[in-house]
Amino acid sequence: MKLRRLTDEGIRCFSDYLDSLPTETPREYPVQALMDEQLSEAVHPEVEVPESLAVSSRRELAETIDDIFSQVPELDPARDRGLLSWLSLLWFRDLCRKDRSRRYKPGARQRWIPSTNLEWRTYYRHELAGPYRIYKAHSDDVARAGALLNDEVGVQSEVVEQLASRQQFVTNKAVVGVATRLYVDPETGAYRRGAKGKGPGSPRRLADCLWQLDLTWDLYSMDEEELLTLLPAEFDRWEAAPPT
Amino acid sequence: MIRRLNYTGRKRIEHERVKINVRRPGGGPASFTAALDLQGMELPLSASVFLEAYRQTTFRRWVVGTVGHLQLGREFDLEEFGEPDGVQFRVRVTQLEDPHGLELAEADQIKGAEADETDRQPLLPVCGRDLDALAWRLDFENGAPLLVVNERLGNWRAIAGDPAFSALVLPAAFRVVCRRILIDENQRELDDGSWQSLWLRFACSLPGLDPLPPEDSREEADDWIEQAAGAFARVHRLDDEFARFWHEGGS
Repeated sequence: MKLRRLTDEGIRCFSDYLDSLPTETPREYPVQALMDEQLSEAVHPEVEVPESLAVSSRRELAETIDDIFSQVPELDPARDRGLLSWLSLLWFRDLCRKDRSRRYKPGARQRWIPSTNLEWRTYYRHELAGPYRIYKAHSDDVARAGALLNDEVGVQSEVVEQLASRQQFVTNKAVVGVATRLYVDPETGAYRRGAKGKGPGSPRRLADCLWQLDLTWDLYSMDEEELLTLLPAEFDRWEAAPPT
Repeated sequence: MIRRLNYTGRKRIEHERVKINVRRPGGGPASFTAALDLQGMELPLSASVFLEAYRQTTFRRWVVGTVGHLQLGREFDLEEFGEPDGVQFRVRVTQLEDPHGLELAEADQIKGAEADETDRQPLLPVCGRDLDALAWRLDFENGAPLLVVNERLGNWRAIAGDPAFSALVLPAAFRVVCRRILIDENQRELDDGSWQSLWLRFACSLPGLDPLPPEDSREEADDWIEQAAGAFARVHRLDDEFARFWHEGGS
């Protein structure tokens, strides 16, 4: 299938569908929006996209998106709301979780439709834009961003919430590398036990500490070892944390 | 908002000391030139100076010499940003000797001026976005306030410029911005070139206001903000604008 871009009308159609899902009268999946000329438009140059997804992690999802857009560098999904909305619609049934009665649970609209082309603060909540942008920002060493990409598709971990929402953290190699060293088991790639909590040494505390350290230190000039030495003792427990 | 306490002695580089000119010759890759004046700031001559450009998850950083020997006489490439709109800049002065990485001075949220335009920026830029059922919202994206009008409503530019909309929305937006500066951030600085100081200077220029309230005085700050919002509405005759809309069905 060839990649397309949702028009404003197509985005409204997708949005109406999302709005209907939690109601008693959910609409039919708007498959027509994928090809209808009023609801979506062709993009040039053309590029093939998989019609369905079989990915388990956010990293695999980001790699799939990168495979597509690396073929067409003229297109910028980070700044083209219609492209990502179309892809979100195409893969919606593969990505969206269901509740016990097997009804889709889409959550907030911004998980599927980017708020705007340029909005920074909530990009990371988009199911596709979040993993893809983090992947691109750390494409020189994707393993460094394990704390932000190893989760299952559709899961927004506390680490992502705390670090990906802050430009000066998510683009900082040392910060992202430290988060991965603290919270991800290098053997399994999974989060360490307790890494999703909110107490001492948690991702939330890490963000607070970094926020304060950022006043004193140029964190971009540091490597991971230097940054680790600045963190308070509450983070020491992760150094000796057993594998999950 | 998390309030950060700066006890570190890090200096703020006033925005007037930094000039960034973005160019995109012939529609090709964007680049910028920079001028920086650090004289009189009493920074160590050996401290390193960095320029950073950022937008969302795209980030680039250049070392541009030291305080004593700036090396800015070249074009800096912004190719990886594609269209340069929305790119912001930061200047850092950092000590690279022991203690390594100590930040000595910073200027952040600098907007580049197009090479052929003035660097005058509106105090409250307006943009259109999908806000679902909200008609408008005030955002503090990248720090500075931004009035967002729901693009679902139609021609958001026309809505933002409508006198009735202005009469109802602008005083509320004005209050939110002043609360952010005076209460959440507890700032009173008028001359450092930051967006907060530009807003405070604007607010202080309104007629009939008391001097700025002291720091850490929530009640006095609330009173001052109400005075200022009232003065703002009087200066712009917002009651007349709304009355005209109400009685005549629009301007």
